[in-house]
Amino acid sequence: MIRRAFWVSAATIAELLKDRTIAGVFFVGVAMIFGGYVVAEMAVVERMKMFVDTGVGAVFVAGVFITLMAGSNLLGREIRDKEILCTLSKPLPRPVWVVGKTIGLLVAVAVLIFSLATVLLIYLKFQTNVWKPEIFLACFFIYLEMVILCNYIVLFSCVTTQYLSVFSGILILLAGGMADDLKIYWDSASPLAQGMSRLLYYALPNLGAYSPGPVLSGSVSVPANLLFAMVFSAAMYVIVAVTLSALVIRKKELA
Amino acid sequence: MNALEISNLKKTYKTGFLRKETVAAVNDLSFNVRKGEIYGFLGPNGSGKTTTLMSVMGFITPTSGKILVLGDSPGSSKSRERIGFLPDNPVLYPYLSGYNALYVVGRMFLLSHSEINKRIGALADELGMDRELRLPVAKHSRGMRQRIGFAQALINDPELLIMDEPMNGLDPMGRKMFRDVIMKRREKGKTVFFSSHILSDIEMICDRICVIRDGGIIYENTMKGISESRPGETLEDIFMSMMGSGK
Repeated sequence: MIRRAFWVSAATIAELLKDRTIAGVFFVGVAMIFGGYVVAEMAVVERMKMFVDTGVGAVFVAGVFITLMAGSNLLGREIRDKEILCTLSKPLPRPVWVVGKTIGLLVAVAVLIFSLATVLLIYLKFQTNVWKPEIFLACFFIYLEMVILCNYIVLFSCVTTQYLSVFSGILILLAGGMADDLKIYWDSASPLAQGMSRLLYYALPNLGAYSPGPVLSGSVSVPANLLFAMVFSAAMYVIVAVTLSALVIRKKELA
Repeated sequence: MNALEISNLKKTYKTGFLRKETVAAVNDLSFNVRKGEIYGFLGPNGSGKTTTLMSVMGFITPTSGKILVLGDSPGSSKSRERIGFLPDNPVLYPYLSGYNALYVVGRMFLLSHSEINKRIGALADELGMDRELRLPVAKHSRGMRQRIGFAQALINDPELLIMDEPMNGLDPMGRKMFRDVIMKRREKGKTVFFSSHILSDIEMICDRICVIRDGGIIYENTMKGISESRPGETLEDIFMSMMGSGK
């Protein structure tokens, strides 16, 4: 089964990297990184910071678009276009197909995000003559955030339409970024507000924790145990979401 | 010995906003496909052909009834290793070339690299594929997609070949080629079960046919039996008289 999952992943990666829409978003991301020059030129001070912030922002925006488009289409398109009928008529159990597709998606998103990070690093060296390898750590944080978002979208796409799964993904991205703010209501006088805020806090992914800002400003160092906790937490999201997606697809009527 | 056994198959769908109405797509359908025969599955649009094929492949769960595919339950990995399936309007990895798409399918059967190349080469010769293997599947015409779809169904040299409207979108040469390939499989002792609207093709290659309407069988016979019981009539005449008279 591992070999079959590997080949599903390999086909998914090849398909995603050849998808013109995703390639288009990648090139928009590259253009936005180059556009950092204009922003930096307008800055009176901290030219370097403007370059880095614009570039990492470009990686984040491109990452979100790629994740939303690829994630919402990953399983949904195959089911909608009946492509799945050819694939699943082979000795390939449905859960293995879901696992293979999800791994393929996560690898493809990694390739695109770290390719953009490499473009940013080289462009930064070219423009400012400074090597700033922290950019890779910042982009790794962005990648972990996208991993969590990907899995939510893939799960939503199993139970709803492509557009609704994109919409739900945007909501998760916005709400997950503000999850820490919910703690304000934990001491609220209303028991309902207390209960709801606690429920939402634990249900939503805390995407704010994956913010690359502190890493880039150099104000915070990232200890290995924190990095491990972040990777572990993202991996847990992947396992739970893939399990739920596999359960949904296992029961789904495909025709 | 039967390659496919269907007994009392029933599939209903819930319709309407509150899902309270029930529509039967297939109703108490029973038939067998014997090993080594070509079995044609006929019926007008909406008669339940595709629902039956999807149930046989395990893509949908029947409401009731029993299906045995090569002695196993539908959808089991064991039976799928011995089956080839061609859906209606097959789509396969649209951004991959035909060769790469077939290669991935071969890997699903855990075939080795050299074995896959050997089989793709043989299928390319048999099905007349050349451009199909080089171009991305998304750029294929309907007929080219059908050929690639046929090749993916044959790559594991299946004992049972199940096809939904295989002749759709093919030119006369393509249809002849398909017929030849199907006949060649029968000579090798393989079983073929397919649905089609193209009655002349069915007449030419099938050993037995079954006609369904409103989810139930209205006629089943061998081609020899048909020609003996209704001499001088084509399958189209017989089919039209069945549909028109409401038998």
